Amino acid sequence: MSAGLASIEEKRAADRQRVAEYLESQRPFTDAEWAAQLRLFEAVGCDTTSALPFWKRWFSRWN
Amino acid sequence: MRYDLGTAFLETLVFTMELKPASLPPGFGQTRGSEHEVWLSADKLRVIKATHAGEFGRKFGPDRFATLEEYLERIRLLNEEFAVRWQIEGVCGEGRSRRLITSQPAYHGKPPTLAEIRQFMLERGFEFHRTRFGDAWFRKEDRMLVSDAEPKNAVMTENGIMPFDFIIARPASSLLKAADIMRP
Repeated sequence: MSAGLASIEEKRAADRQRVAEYLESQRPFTDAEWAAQLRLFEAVGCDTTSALPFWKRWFSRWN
Repeated sequence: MRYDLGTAFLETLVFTMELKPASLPPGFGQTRGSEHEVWLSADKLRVIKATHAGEFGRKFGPDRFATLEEYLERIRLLNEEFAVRWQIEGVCGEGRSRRLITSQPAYHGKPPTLAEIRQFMLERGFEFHRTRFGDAWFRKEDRMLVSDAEPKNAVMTENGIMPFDFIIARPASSLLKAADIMRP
């Protein structure tokens, strides 16, 4: 394995550890927390496609 | 589980127990994104995601809409690369009504900034490219390409960024050349 690939694999291992640690202490969302988080993401998402009517979404497949 | 996702194999998966039938549970459609409808699981620990009917998310390049095969590959690569624990729950419907139901841990946090995402990607060896198909991050060592690395597609948690919805693939050389990421 090259040095570059070895470094990538080290990062992946660190990420696996990081996520595992997060999940060990994960707690359920309350309804209020979930609603607040959705609002936060909708604010940055400004989703460009889902707000379109279905025929525009289908049209965009060919354009 | 690691495997090459050939079309025939995928069809076998769909029609056997590997991609088992799933129904849309209560709560479906709490919020709608460009690729999925999303809701919180009954135990409030996971986020359930259903692709839009007849669609399997987006992809980098001129075609924009991914196939089922490409979507499954994206799930595999996102787990392999960032360990986000995205798992397949099953398929719902048939033909143009078919949806893939998946789930991920419900990460507490807020959208990261673009600067935080940039740092996250640089630390993992990706280089930024502004292309005709949109912004993308490419790592030449393993030819991994990440697109849609936007604040709406990741959560900044107490344990760092969880990129739950980045689009990831190992594209063909022809696409990398068309995007001017790889020179002929």
